[in-house]
Amino acid sequence: MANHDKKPAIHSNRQNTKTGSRSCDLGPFCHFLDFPIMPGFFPVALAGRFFPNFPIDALTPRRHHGSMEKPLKTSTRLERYLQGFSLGYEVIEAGEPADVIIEELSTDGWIERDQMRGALSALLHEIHRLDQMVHP
Amino acid sequence: MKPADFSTTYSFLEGFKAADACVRYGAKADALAGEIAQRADHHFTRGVVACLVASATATQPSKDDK
Repeated sequence: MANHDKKPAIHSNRQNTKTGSRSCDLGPFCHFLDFPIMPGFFPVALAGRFFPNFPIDALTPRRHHGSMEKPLKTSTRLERYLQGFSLGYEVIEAGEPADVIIEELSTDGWIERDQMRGALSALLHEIHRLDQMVHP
Repeated sequence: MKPADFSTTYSFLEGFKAADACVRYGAKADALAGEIAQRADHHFTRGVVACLVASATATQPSKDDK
């Protein structure tokens, strides 16, 4: 009976479970599993099972596309950077309008960041070169 | 001028101004790319690239760019 006095939350939760209600009042300690777990250490995989309204998405690291993605390899990023760099110089040398760069780099409304960095670097590099010619 | 046109032109010019500041103060391309990613605005990006291309080719941007 002494335990009942110490952990009243257990009984209220079990009663709720019997009546079909799955609500659980999480205090500083979670007594739902019969042993205390600090909420910060509660396993996220179990949270959705025991607490249907638990915001798992808020704890799961995600990229902007909504799916888990591995970070790109350095070689892949470098290759994309160089693609953007060469595109930037091609546009300058051909004298084409600026929108050509965006059209070439856009896929489904997205521009890959490393390619954009490469193109911007090429343009800034050329500007710097011209500036050095004018102001040696 | 319609509000949509005004918004488009305003974003374009903001991008143009950001690129100009980047060139003027010698900022890195990464900073500009970061600002583009933060804005996520197509016309802002167009403005940035238009400014840099015009500067790199030593030409004035045409009215068609806007």
